[in-house]
Amino acid sequence: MDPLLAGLAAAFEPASLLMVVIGTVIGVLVGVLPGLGSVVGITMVLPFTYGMPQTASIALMLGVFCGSCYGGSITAIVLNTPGTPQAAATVLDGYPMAKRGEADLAIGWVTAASTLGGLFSVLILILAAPQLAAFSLQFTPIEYFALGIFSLTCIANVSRDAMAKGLLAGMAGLFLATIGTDPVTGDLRFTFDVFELSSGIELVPVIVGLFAFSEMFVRTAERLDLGGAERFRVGFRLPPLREWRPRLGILLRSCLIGSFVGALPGTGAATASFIAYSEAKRVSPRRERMGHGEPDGLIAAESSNNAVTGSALVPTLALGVPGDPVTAVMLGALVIQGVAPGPQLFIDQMPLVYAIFFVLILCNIVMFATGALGAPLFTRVLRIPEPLLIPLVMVITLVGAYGVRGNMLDVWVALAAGAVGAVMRVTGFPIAPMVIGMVLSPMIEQSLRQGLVVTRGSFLAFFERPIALTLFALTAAIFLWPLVQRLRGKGRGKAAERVPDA
Amino acid sequence: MPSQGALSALVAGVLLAAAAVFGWDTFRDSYHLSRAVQGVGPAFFPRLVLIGMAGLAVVVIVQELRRRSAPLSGEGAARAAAATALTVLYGIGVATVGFLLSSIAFIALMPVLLGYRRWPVLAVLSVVYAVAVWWMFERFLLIILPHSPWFATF
Repeated sequence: MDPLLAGLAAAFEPASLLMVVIGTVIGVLVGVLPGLGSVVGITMVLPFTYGMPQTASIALMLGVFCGSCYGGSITAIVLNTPGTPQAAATVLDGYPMAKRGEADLAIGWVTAASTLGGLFSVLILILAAPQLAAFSLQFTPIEYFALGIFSLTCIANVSRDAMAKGLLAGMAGLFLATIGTDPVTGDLRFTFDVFELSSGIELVPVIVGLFAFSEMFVRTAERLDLGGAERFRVGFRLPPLREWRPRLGILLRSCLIGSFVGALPGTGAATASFIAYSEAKRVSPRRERMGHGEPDGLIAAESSNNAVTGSALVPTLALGVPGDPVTAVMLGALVIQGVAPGPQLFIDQMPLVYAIFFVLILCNIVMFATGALGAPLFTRVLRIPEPLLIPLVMVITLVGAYGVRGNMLDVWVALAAGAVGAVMRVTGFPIAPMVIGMVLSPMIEQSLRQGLVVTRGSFLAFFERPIALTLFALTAAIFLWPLVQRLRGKGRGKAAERVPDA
Repeated sequence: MPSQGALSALVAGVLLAAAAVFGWDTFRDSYHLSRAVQGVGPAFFPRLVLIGMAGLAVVVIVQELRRRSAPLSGEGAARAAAATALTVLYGIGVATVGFLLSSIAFIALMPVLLGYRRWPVLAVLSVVYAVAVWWMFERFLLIILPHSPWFATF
């Protein structure tokens, strides 16, 4: 069968369609609940994917990803609290609209903008991923090593305020992945004669622990709301077409920003929404009204954060490298499903690639329907008291850790990672770098060792290849840029001090 | 309570110690006896990473000790420690008395620990939710969860 038709058939199988709907609804619910977010949402549904067909399991995860990016905006509008970090910019105009009695219209704007942003990013994914995969076929282990090192730059992006701590966490992640059997020689490393460690530390339990358990542990220290949020009802009203026409430029610009930012390592939807919002504030003819309930702000924030969903998958699917923690979790889940993301995916498993494209389109359409029909109902989930919610999330995530191999060791790893993650949160160590390090470590090690074989042990020869050299230069630039900025800032500060003296 | 800076330095110190212990382990005889290609054996990459880890740990320790930071608030620390201990007990329970029974107990006890006191809600929710999750995985998704030593099915 033609790969396109096979992909279409896989995406429209009843199981896949059902998982698109369930995943999107769960995603919206997770987004509505403040603090859970996309990573915890995907971690929660992970155990359900183990026994599913490939396309259905991917549909479930993509549904959660898309739904959670959108769901946070509902809480932002009605509670003045973003349900997820990516909805933080939505608060600025969403809540003022709600205060004016236009919460239903604000939800209409964000639902439509999220859907259009999401669909735009699928288009980017369809156009860019195969090209990038085809280009990467020229890669030798040396280029893959350079790519792995470049992908580590996302650590710099997610640890802006604590670069050394982020890099240290990243190094710890790189090291954790070396425990177990050496992929080249088959020797056991750092197992200390513990047989269970010979197959290494599984990624999924570490993710479950670092993100979900640690979040729950830290929450238990906070003063919890025993009664749930107060009762309220909101509706859904789609803005008329004539209101859209003058705002199409903002929409397109924000979609482009979201798609571009999403494909960069370590940036994510929250960054995209703030960049798009500030760009809208710069160019919008209605910029004076932004921050006081202007739909331009909602369009910018929501279309850009959902435009990240498709483009974030470009490097993940085409190169097998995750752009952020969300795609790192999905990468781990895809590997469990027997899918090996990378250029070979676009040669060997084109039907699956097409199925992913179609599933993403469906997720965005279902997301619109879910928002339109269910927005008033979703806010009711906020009534669940947090002390009840915490053990419910923990039970599911524990199954997620156990279900990978049916091994209690993975549960202990998840619990230990949860405690480590809680300490990291309290002490200001970013968590994402550790996961990114763990994901990238096998690729970096293998490509480095294979590359050294190719160059007969000469590391300097790595810099003689143009693509690798470019990636190394970009890596150095991204790591050094904050340092340059700081030095320039200090220089300006000194100059400013000198002016009054003069 | 100690300051965030002191705790961060302690975490970095633990990582520095771990780098030293694992680094020392890479000099075991078995690594030297294994096959090396172009002089690169199984200890090559971990050593590079551990050297980077040790260097960065020193940087973090110096940074954090030079930084003045306010003491952390101790509010809720005891509750978080108790919740963590209860979760560890839950893990032990899963391994010893099975998933279903330990989950019922965990779902009932954790909210109590966090101050929730609506007993009928707790009783119904803990049983219904634990049974629903157990049924979903065992019967529907065919993922076998740990059983108790007393019952054949759960």
